[in-house]
Amino acid sequence: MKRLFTLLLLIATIVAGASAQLNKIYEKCQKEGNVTTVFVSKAMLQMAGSMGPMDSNSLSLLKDKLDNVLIVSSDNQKGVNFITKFRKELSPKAGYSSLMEINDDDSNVVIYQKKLSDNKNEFILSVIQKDSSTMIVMDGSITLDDVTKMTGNNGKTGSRE
Amino acid sequence: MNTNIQPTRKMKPEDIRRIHSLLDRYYGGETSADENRELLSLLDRDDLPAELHADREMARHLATLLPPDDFEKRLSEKINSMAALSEEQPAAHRQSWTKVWWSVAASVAILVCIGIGLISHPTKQQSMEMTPEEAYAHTEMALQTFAEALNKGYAQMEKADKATAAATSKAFKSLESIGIHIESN
Repeated sequence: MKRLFTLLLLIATIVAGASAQLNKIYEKCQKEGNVTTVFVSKAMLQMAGSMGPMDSNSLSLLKDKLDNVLIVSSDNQKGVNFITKFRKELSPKAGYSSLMEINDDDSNVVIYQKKLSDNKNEFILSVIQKDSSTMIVMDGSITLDDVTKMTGNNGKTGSRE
Repeated sequence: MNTNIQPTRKMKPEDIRRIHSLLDRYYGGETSADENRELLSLLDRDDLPAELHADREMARHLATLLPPDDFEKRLSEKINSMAALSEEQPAAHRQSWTKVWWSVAASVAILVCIGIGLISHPTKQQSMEMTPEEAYAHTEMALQTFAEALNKGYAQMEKADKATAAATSKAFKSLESIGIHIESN
């Protein structure tokens, strides 16, 4: 009985820790006044996934694989500075690895990944341009393959066509 | 005819004062063994004043009430056993207190974990205020942005791969023109 209770407590702690990560980012961004935050929880994703018709990839992502989605955007310099500063916290010490970085004339894009407990991942896409910036945080049992499967030939999602 | 009359000896006043002082302490149980012996010795004197005769009788009577031979030994053993028992009780008390403290600490840890889980859960006002359609639109936009960035990266990697292949091929042709043949795998 004691062992069962200890095991349940451990699982609860791990689960709480896993979902707490994105919540921390959300709380931090929410306090910043120069950015706009949109948080889509699992419950809302479930409801969105119930809207039909939808292709199987999108449905699977929304209903099964995605836990939470956080979108942080800004169109002023202070917001850009905030997101640029926030990027520095996404370091290997914090468990993040940089998967891809793309630099071109007008933007800098970095994709980060963090392995959470269980078989869950957190992906962060950070786009910084001169006067605007966007950060997208997704967590769940999602992989990069799942995301790429969402695109058609022209890069658009094939969910509503 | 000569009659020898012995004069009645009277106790010295300081002796009488000494007796009274000892008696006060004697009846209060404060005299030592030596003082008891001194008192009995003084009370046994022939020149003891008459008003102290009753005290002499009392002291003689009390002196006959001796404890048993092994009384002191048994009392000492009893005291030792009681002292040992009182030392064990605090230890047992400490053990039970230790268990209580661990229980309290475990309960607090559980409550803290639950509290962190609840508190760290963000207010879902934003997500609850939007409609499912809006949530879908935001999610779709997020995924699309993500996918575009990935595809851009993959496209750059493919471009680099082609450029590398073209450069390698050009290098091989240049080497062949000067008579060096290299077999590529």
